[in-house]
Amino acid sequence: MISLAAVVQQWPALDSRRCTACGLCVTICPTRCLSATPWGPWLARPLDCLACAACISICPQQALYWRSIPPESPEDESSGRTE
Amino acid sequence: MRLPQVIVWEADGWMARQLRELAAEHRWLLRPVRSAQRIHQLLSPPDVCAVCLIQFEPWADRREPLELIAQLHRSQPDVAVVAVSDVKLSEAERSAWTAALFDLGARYVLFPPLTRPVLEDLVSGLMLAVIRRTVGVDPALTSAASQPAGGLGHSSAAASDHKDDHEPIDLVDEDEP
Amino acid sequence: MAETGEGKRGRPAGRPGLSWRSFFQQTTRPLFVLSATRRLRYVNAAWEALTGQPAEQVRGLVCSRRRHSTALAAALAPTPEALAGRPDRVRRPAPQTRPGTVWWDVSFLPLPAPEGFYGWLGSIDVIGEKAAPVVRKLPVFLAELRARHNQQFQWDWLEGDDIQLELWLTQLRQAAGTEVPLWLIGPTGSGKETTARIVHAASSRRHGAFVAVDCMGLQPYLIESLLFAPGNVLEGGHTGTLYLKSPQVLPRDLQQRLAELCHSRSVSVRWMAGSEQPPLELVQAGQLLPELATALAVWPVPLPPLAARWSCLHRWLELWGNPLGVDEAALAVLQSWPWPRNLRELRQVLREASQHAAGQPLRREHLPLTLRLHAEHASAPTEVTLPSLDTVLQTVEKQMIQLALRLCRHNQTAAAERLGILRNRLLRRMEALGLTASNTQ
Repeated sequence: MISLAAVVQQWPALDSRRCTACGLCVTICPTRCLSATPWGPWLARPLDCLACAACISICPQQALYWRSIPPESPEDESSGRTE
Repeated sequence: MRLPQVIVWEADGWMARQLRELAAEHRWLLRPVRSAQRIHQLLSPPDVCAVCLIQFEPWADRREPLELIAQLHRSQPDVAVVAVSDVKLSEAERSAWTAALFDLGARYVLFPPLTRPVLEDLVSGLMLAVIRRTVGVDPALTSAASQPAGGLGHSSAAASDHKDDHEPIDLVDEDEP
Repeated sequence: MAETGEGKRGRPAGRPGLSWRSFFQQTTRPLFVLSATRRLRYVNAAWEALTGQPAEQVRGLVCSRRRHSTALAAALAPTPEALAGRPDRVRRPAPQTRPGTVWWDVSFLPLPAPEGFYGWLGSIDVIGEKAAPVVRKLPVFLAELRARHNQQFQWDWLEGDDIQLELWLTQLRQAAGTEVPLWLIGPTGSGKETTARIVHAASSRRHGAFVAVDCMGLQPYLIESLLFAPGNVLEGGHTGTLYLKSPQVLPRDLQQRLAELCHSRSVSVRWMAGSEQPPLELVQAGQLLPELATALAVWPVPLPPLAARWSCLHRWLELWGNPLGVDEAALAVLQSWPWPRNLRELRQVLREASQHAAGQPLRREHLPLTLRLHAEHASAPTEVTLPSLDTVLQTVEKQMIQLALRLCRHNQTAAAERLGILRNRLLRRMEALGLTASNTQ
């Protein structure tokens, strides 16, 4: 079985020039890995994030985008996620 | 977007193995890395939230870890850096190295015996303090903070039900190959 | 003990210069006297030096080898032979040392009385004292690195054109010229630790290390290990300034130990501390031990608010990514924001905006939307435009199918099972979403 590390290597990132801190992304997240602050969302539990794109697709301001963090080397799966 | 990361730069992967359960429990990313360049890459976004464990070798002609500690203190003062050595030193030498590494910006310095409870206590304590400072929320209230104000108007209970009923896939046990 | 001789108390006849008490007190051999009930009645100066325990603290200590006895009491306990009234000598591990490294040969001389028993005179010979370890000097490059690193902590970091700022700087400069414990007061993110480092770098302690102890982020036992254990950071005079971040969060017993350490002459270090509230308020709230407050908060200095420090902006921009400065519109936005998270928040905003500016001066549009709206006295739109339900569902569905396929090495049956649907449905949805074997790799 392939590890989640090898599969999910991108996380939502925030463009604060667009975010109104409306909280929709936090509301829709199916794994509830996002948390709200008065200054916008943060990814409090990144290990729960499935990169399902719900937060990115719901954002009315298009303030969320993908930030890819590929493994350090192709054979190194654990550099993406370790659990 | 800020996300809590535990970054470990070491020779043999021992520390990362010790911290695996802690990271899983808090749902933090654990990132074993192999180079200083990789640490710079991970910490390049302006909104990072991280604890970084860096192994150093006293007296070895390997300056990179020490230079990295100083660089991180300069460029990312909110990242908590822990310097770790697996070389046993005399008390006087330990004292001198500890003072020098704190001076470069380390938040703590560990020497043998290195144990899992100490590593866990150190990383969890520092990470919660980093979250409190950088995110501006009390990590103990994270669950409450995750409830959005307004939005689509889910109540907290409704949001929980939402997860239980519609969780699309259970991947929690998938991480181990 | 009985006195001997005829002269003054404790002085032998014909020896006006010295009393027997002086012999006992001044000999380099560690001596002690136990009463018949095995209580410690007397210890000499050599004994105090050997054990590190002052006489007044140990007087009355019952020396036995029971389970609850301390290591010191066990080491001084009379042997069965000595209890039977015969002189004896025994080798025991020295207390407060690593087992097996240092031993004491403890001799007991019973002191019989005409009727009964006075007690024992004891002496200690130290066996296997550790040879002084060879201490290697730290590498030269490390000293150079530290010197380079510390050069950045200069007064110009804090300088600006504001009377409040100038008064504050004058206070800090004076503080740098003294050894008086300094307590910096300011909200979280206001730069207390950086200010402490700058004062340290300008003080006579600058050749020693600046050690910042995060009392909130470190477990108390880790702080105890750092400051009190053998090989601690205060040994050897390597530390110039010890800065305690929020010491009021520490347990009271550790606060008490720190207060004692502050007053201890054996530790030569400049003390500093920082907190959000003034130390007096913390004492009144029952968080800070008065003893620690009086030891550390000799010179409390509040940090000026961010509004008084705008003239430092050019310096901060240099440090945080954009030496080209900000245009007027952007400056107006920055100045109108209340900065609830202080300098730390400003640093993040400037760093992020500098990345957006990509080598150009900062403009208004590079700044976060919440700041811009605040400057315009506008609020975020209450009517949000939601994307269509189909768009969101399709996006999420596509991502989830791709995730499951990758997890199952593109085995569609397994992926369907992971998603909790039948394989036929998966194939239908893949077709509808335009997913093929090639674009799900």
